[in-house]
Amino acid sequence: MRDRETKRSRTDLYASVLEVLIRYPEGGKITRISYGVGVPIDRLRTMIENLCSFGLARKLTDKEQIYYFATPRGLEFLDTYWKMKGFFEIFGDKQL
Amino acid sequence: MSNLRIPRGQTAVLDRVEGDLKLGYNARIEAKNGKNVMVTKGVYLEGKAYVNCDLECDSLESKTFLSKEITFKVLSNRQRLEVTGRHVGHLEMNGNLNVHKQLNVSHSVQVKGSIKAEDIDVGGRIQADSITCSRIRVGGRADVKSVLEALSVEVGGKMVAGAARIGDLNVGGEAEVDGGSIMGSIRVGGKFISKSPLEFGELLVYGRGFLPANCKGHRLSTFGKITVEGDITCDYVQVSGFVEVLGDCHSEKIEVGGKFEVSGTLFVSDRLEGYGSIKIVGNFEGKNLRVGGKFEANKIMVNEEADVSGKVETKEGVKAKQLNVRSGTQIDGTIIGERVEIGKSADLSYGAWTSTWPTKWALTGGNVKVQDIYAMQVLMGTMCRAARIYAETIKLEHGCVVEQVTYTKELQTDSSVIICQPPQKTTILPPAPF
Repeated sequence: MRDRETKRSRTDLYASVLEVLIRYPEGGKITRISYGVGVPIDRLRTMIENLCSFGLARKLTDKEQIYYFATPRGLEFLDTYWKMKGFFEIFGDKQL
Repeated sequence: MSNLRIPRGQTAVLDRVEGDLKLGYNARIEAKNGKNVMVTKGVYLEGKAYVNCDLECDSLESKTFLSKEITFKVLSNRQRLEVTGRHVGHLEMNGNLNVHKQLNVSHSVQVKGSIKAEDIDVGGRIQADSITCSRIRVGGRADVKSVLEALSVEVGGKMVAGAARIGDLNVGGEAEVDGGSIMGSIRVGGKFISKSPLEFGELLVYGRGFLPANCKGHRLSTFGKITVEGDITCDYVQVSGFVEVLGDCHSEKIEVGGKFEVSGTLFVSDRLEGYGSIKIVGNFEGKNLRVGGKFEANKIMVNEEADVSGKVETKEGVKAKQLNVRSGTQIDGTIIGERVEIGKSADLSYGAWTSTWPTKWALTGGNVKVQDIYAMQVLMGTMCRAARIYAETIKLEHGCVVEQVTYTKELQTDSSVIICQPPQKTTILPPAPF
């Protein structure tokens, strides 16, 4: 799916999940999010549950379907994450 | 031919379908005329599907693959099926795809030709030779070999495109385009690369950015590092990280909070405000200048007002109509201006450029060392030092030390001022070096 030089850290994965989630303001389904992030659904489910428990994402069940959303705190995390990545780019460090 | 369903694993040779076309898992379509298949309503993928011709339809959608109708009593059963349905919505095509309304595929779309659609929504990955649509949303990755034309592009992971004709671009990870125009806002989280000249609206790169020479845009800002491989023209440059221009830079307004380096000349038609580090190998030419950090340039030429504090290093000098050199400032090079004030107390009115007269006229702070000054009016605050001063009127405050003073109208000093050589009053002042 992707050509990566380095293994993504847990923070990178959380950021990837939120990047996909913000593209679904109407709510993202787990399968579609997994295709977007590029991780299997069982692993994604754990990550997304963690994100929900941190308040960065939230879950909504509607007609037997579970939809996931990014919260304002999630957007704040993403903004901070990319800014920190920017600083690391200047410092010459590779990973957050 | 009315509504049609191609069963799992079978190949159908079609011409025109009046109604819906449902493609079972691993179904394959070929054209009867060898060119294209036309579907008047929607095409539904129930899994992987292969199309070996051009396809035109009203909409194209994928659903969770179900070999037969199943009613789920328990939610977890459905979830388990979704987990096991690995190839949900995957389309491979050898021809061109023309969708009048929505193209909505959950996993991936791989088209060797072009895609034309109103609205594209792909969960995983989309690959095509060219894409024309009004809106495209991809969760994972978009690969477009030639032209990507869209009003709005949203990609969660990575986007690689040829020439871009895009309105707004929002990419979470990396974006790479081969020039073109992105006239709305560009927000890229990780890396942004343009291989050919790009015309852009508002470019915000959080991570790393590469722009070629001769790019033109409205606003350029970064929290990371942007490298411009040559000349650039931009209305507004906001540097919160590091911007490196390997050529000339033309701009209307520049704000530097981080680091800004220009290998050529920097032209600013309105103002430059810098509180970080600015290094210009060539000259700086601008209307207004306000720097508080470190500023290096070969020559600084300001048409209106320059307000300088911190450290300014020049080879040839600084020229401005009104030049304020704040206390504690180190300034290298000749100073030229109509009115030059040396050693005013530091301007603490950060960000309030136009309404700072009260603070600008605050008590002198002094302790500034400058080289030669060519001006009409010179005012030196307490304990300031200068080499030679050539001016019409000169006022030297308490404790100033000057090597040589040449004036035409008036010299005000007190007993604490030291002038190494006797002051000279002449009718004509020597010309300024530039």
